[in-house]
Amino acid sequence: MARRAMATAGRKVFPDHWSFLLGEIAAYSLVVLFGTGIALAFVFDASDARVVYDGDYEPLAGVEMSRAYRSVVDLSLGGTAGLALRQTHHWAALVFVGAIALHACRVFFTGAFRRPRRLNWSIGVTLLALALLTGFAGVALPDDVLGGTGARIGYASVLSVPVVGPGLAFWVFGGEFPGAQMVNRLWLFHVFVLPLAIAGAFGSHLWLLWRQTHTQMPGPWRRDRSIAGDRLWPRHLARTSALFAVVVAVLGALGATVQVNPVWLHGPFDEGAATVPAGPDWFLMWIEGALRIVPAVGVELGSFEVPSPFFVGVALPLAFFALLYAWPLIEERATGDRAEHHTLERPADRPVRAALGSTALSVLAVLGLAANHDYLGSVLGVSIEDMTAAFRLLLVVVPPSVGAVVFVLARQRSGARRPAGARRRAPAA
Amino acid sequence: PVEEERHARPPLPGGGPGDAGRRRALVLAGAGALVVAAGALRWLLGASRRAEGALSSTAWRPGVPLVDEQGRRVSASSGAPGAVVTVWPEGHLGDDDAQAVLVHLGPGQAVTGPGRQEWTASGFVAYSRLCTHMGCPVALYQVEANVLVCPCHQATFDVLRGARPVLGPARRPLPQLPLAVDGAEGVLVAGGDFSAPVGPGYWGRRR
Repeated sequence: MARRAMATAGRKVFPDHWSFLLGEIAAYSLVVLFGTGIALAFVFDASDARVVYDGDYEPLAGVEMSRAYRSVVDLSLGGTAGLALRQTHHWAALVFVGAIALHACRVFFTGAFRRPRRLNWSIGVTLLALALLTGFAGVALPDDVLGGTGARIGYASVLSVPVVGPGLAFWVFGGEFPGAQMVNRLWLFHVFVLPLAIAGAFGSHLWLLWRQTHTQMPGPWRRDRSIAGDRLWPRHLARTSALFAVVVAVLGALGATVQVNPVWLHGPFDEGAATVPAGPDWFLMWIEGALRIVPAVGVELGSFEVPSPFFVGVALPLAFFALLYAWPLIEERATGDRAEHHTLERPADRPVRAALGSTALSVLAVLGLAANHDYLGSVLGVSIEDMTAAFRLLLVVVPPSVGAVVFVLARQRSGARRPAGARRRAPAA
Repeated sequence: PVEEERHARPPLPGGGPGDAGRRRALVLAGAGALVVAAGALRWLLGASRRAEGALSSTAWRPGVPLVDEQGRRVSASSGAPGAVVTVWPEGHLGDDDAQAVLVHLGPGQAVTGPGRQEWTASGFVAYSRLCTHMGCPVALYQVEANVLVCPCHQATFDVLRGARPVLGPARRPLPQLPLAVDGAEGVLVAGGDFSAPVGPGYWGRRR
């Protein structure tokens, strides 16, 4: 019985395209995250208790720090691949979110989110949000100045929520910043709550994908009724196993050779400490950039206020994700297309969608770049004031231009693909 | 590669949305969730009021001496013009919300502020060190321009004009700490708590 189920499973057909590997890369990065994360959990001391450093690293001799920070410094500078383990974990996180983002772009631009996959799109968007939150919590765990500063930004964002902000912030942090047992609380989120949510969402994501079968790229002989590709056994399994090995190898190589987050250089977090330049991991730079260049717009209502961090740090990300969740419904309304699709579209076949998606991506790119405007200013010899003005200009000018260019190019491309003399179908917009 | 017929999907377990019993269960679940949410909201409202109370004050009181990172009191005749020191209330070294930046002004420099003529002492002025944008310690001081710059999002505050924001995303000046000199020992003491709640804004900050 089990044998028959396995045999049936082995015959399942998986369409093949290079862009379908992006989701798999994300999945395998997640596996590496779990593996390295579990290993790290054995050596990380999730404690805020204060100690004085008495290890071998001279610059920190006699410095007061939390046990969490000390455990990370000891792990990093201890010598037995501890640093490689930590850096592999961090690199896996950076690649994980990058792969999800690219995979989401592929799904978006090819229209794979249309029926019957609208629910799976929502699960995917949820996975992206969970990944961002988990990464944010993770960077704060070593309790160094950079991580602690990030935690401050998170605290100020929650605090800014109208009416319930202060209660919410005190609940998350256990009191006024830095709160009670900040590292320990963040650790519980990063190690239990969020990974469980990710595992559950990811499991559903795969289950739906299995049931509904994967979409396929259009071709002259492919129709919605059929599926073309390789069977799970042996070809597809072999290919995906090879990809897994490559992902593990690349992440391990990055972790062993390319430095990331050298917390022993930052120093331990302490209330008075600050560091320059300060900034989050790449996938949160769109919010950081917005916090820097968006003009401060707060709202005062009598003796109450809604401070500017709410609009930029809370409302903006929420609006972005709301747009992502709603997109399948928006497009369905606009096109009137409620049919089920298993064949993908070429991105150029939908010039409006391609243009809107490109516009959104360029907004994220400009904001992400703006997150480093102090560093860029010092490299280029430009004042912060001028850098801010320049990025505000870029934010207004670049996205619509990119959208217009993509629209025109897509129109041309999908026009060129139609054979000469064929009757024009309804405009693909 | 192979090509074959896509199999018709078996319906998802539990029937479709036309299933009356299922809909009723959903409605009940929704109602239950609303009750829980309402309870949570009520608790949050109370918790927010209490939190705002804690946020509105720090440990600074009239007569409390200023101490540096080593816990030493700050003499009113110490320091060079342009010097900047992080200070805390004595007995509360390390209290996050009480941290202040003490600036020694140059000769001929004065801080202009309505009703705050008594707030500087011996050429010193003190402000909260927590940025009013998102609470990062405002650790950078540009002596030539007399501005404090926050490393997080580059909010810039004019020290000579009550630390009001001149650049960047902050909207409110850094709250000022009134200073006085303890005649007996010649050390700097506070004249009271900060002029406004410190750090980032929140709903009831202006209550």
